[in-house]
Amino acid sequence: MDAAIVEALTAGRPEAAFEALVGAYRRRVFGLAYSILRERAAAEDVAQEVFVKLWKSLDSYDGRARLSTWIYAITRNAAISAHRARRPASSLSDPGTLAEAEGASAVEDRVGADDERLWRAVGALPEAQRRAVTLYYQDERPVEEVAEMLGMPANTVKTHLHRARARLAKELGAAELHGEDAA
Amino acid sequence: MNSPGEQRLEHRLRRLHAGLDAAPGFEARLAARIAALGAPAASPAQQRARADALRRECEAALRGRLWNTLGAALALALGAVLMAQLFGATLAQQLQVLLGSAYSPALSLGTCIAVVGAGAFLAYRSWSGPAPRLLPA
Repeated sequence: MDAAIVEALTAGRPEAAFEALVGAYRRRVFGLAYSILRERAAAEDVAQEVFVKLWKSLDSYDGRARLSTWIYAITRNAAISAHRARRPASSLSDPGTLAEAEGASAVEDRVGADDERLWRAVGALPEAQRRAVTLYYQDERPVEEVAEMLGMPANTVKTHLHRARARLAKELGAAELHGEDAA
Repeated sequence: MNSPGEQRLEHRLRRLHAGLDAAPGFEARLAARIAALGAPAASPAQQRARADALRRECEAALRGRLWNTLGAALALALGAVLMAQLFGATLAQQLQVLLGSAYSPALSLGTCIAVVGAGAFLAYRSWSGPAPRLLPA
């Protein structure tokens, strides 16, 4: 995937390279931005900004670093900047931000009433755990890829996922998790 | 092996996050923004690639012109030899008569061939038109 994009770039075909890049990274860039911002509209704005920035700076990519690493770094920086600009010195663990996350979940069409409590519980996770959960479950990605997206070691991601699952299980309670199994 | 409760949580988390994607029309909106920006500046590597491609095109065009010119020169030379074979003696005699005995027949014939050759070359140049542009204006 990346090889074809880089080949198109070095062959002097930036339009073809960019088209392939958007197709390959749209969900990843959006998912990473969403995992940080926890709001669809803001995540989409950041994703647009990221791709515009990538288009402008395609010429500066020299192929020494992995393309994915470069894209994820740009996305993380853009999303974190947007998060800070939106609500300085806030965290999604804060009550106010959590309320926003809960409000955002209410407009998610795909979230049914059964999953509302889980959605809120995910929103209430510590930031690092929530980001790992979002990226891991968005496309059932390997832990290594989630680690690259978040810019942290794979073992750290595994720890975040383990703690997040334990916390969610505790939050939701055995009865809800087991559903029919417990009945 | 995960317990049924853990498996259920995994399943619910996957279902919850599966639809996480940009809104429809993301690419179209991005394309509109990109179109407003124009093409990015080429990197040194891209400039080198384009220059190499242009150089290869120029070399191919020059090779074509070279073979064309060599073919024309060969045809002219053959024509001149043929003319000399057919009309050389007669032409030399007439030239000697015109110019007097000051010039040798061989020199007269050479002058004649050079004049005919130059005329044929000028005719060929005017027939073949101007040389094609190798670089864009």
